[in-house]
Formats: sequence, structure tokens, C-alpha cells
Amino acid sequence: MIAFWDLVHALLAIGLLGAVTHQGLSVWRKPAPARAFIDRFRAVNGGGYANAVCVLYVLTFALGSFIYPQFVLDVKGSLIDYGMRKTIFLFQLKEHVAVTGLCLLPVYWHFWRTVPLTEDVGVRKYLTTLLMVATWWNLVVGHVLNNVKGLV
Amino acid sequence: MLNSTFSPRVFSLVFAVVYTLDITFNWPMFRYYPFLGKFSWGDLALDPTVPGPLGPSMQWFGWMGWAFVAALVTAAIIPKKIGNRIPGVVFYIVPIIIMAGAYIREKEFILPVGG
Repeated sequence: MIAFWDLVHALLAIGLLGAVTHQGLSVWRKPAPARAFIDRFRAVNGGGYANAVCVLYVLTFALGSFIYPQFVLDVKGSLIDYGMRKTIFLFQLKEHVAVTGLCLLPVYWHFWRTVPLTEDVGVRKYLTTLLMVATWWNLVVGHVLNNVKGLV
Repeated sequence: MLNSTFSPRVFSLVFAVVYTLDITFNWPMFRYYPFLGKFSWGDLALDPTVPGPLGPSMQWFGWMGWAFVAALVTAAIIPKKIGNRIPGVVFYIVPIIIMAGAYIREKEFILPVGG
């Protein structure tokens, strides 16, 4: 059953990754006709993604928290036995990065949805980029750790 | 109602500060013992009445517990009008302070053993 929830967690994370990457790249785009693929990818209305990013982040975080105890018992225990301290460090960092994103979520939503889009442009850009980087980091680290047995 | 009084700027700032203090000084509100499937307000390892192997203790939920309660209460008490005066640039340092706390908490895994 834990494999099922792990898969759902991964699928939600991929949905989040798509939404936050669209938005994250859109805040760095200068207004110009979108011709190349990357320009078309980021030529989106960033504000329209804020609610989806918040909902997907909370769901992904909640499911990650639900499966985390099983990870501590099954995977972290094995990593400790094998002396893979740096790998454990990566995962420990993942949990703090996830909390950083969760902590900034209300203020991220606030700057997208209640502050006029012409104000605090730099803050909005920073928070969105940070959430994008945090999501990428956590997805990559989570994926590597999920497969660490096959990688070593 | 909540939207008119709740200050997201205060919530995020207080959450970050309290979470950083929690992880730096290891002040969990509660602990979770996945082997036992049990939550505990205190450290069961210090309780001689608890028999058998406890397995690992998870403080992560407890660290978030204090941060969440403190942030929720403060964000509800401080009027939104005042909270909105917190400049947006303050949030530039939020990830830095949390990561500093995270380094202090987790450095044992990257520093040489006994170092």
C-alpha cells in the first residue's frame, strides 16, 4: 500500500513541478512574441497558477508527510546501517526545504493574489523562483533516494 | 472573516523564525515513534515505564507543530493592516535563516565522525 501512496505522491509532485515551472519561468520572461519552444512554454499568465501551486504543494507535502515514517523505518534505517551519512544528509535537507516552501506558501499566495501585480515584482519573482527550485530539488532528491538501493 | 484578519506576511515570518529555533535547539512540540505508531509529548527514551524497543524518534512533525501554532496565533492577533507593513524584501532572508538552522541540525551527517 505504501508503494501506491508513494506513486501518488510522485504524480502530485510532477503536477506541481509542471505548474510551478511554467510560472517560475514566466516571471523571468520579458514581453516579446513567443516563437521558440521555451518562450511559448513560459508565455503564460503566471497569476493563474498561484492557486494550483498552493493546492498541489499542500497535497504533495501532506502525502509526503504521511509516507515519511515508513521511509524512516525502511530506507533511513538501511542507509544508517550502510553508513551512507551524506545520503541521509540529502534527505534531511529535503525535509527542511519542503518546510521552507510550505512556510512561504501563504506569503507567495498573498503576493500573487492580493498585491497588485505592478507592485513588489521582485519579491514575487523571488518567491516563485524559490518555490520552483525547492520543488525541483525535492523531486530529484526524492527520486534518487527512492531508487538509492539500485544506484549503489 | 479569516481572510480579512489573517496576515500571510506575519504567518510566514513567524513560522520561519520559530521553525528555525525549533530545529536549532531541538524543541519539538511532540515526537512520533513510527516503530510503535505512537505520538508522545515527551521523549519516551527517558521514560523507564515504556517497555521494549522504541525504534527511531521523529521530531520533524513536532518542530512544525510549534511553528504552525505560533504562526497561526500571531497572524490572527496582529491586524492584517499592520502585518502588510512588513516589507516584501524581508522574505528574501527567510530561506537563508531556515537553511542556517538546518545546517546546524544536520551537520553531523556531513562532518567527519568525531569531528
